[in-house]
Amino acid sequence: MNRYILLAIPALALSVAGVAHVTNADAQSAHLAPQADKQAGDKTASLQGPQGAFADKSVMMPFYQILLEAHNQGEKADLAAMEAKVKAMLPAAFNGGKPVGKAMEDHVLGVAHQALALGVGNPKMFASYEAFMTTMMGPQ
Amino acid sequence: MRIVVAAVLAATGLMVGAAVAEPQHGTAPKAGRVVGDKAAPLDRADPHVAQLFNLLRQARGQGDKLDMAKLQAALKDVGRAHAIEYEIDQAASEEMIMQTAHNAWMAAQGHPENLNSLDAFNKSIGAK
Repeated sequence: MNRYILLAIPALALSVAGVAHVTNADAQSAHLAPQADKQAGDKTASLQGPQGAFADKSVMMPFYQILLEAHNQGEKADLAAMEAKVKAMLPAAFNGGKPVGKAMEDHVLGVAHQALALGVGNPKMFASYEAFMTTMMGPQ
Repeated sequence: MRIVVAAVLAATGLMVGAAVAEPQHGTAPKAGRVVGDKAAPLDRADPHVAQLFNLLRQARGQGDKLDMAKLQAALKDVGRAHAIEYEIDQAASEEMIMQTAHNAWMAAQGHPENLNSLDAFNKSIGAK
């Protein structure tokens, strides 16, 4: 009797895990289907799925231009000025004109610094807005 | 100029490397964790590494016009932000950032290529 119970427990666990896996896979395939079709010929594919509103060109283009200006200044870049410009764009970009939280501000500034730092070793990422977006977010 | 910068960084209390606890083999601390009363070394995924890299490149680019007070204030800001993000002691975080900056600056005197890319910088500071 005990042997049957011991065999039944892992079988039940596998069954539950299988259902959960399929459900999750279905949800993901439904979510990513348009992306997969679009990227059929790409060498790489974004695993993040569609981006949120923050990836909109109206938000990202000003961000890119601020970083491009700093990037072009090389080691003489005025990082404080760059940060001030990024901070200034946040309320309109992310919160309907109202000030954003400190955590959000820190997050975006962190992304800005990472982008600038990456651009030192990979200046081509600043060659165009499209190249910038691809480097930062993967192929769309 | 570089010697002066290094000397000033050292004189402002950055020469605390000997007091920083070394991670034990097999128990490498996660970034942001506190080792004893010291902040653990930076992780390469930490955005503050990129910030540190940019600040040191900017410092090098300023040459003789480098404003040490501004650099130190900026480094302290990084340390403060790191402490908030990883919920660790602010003083320990500031000290770790200043120590890392000092070491990276000194290393870059002999190996200027350390500041040529974020990857090289990560390797130079031992970021995992």
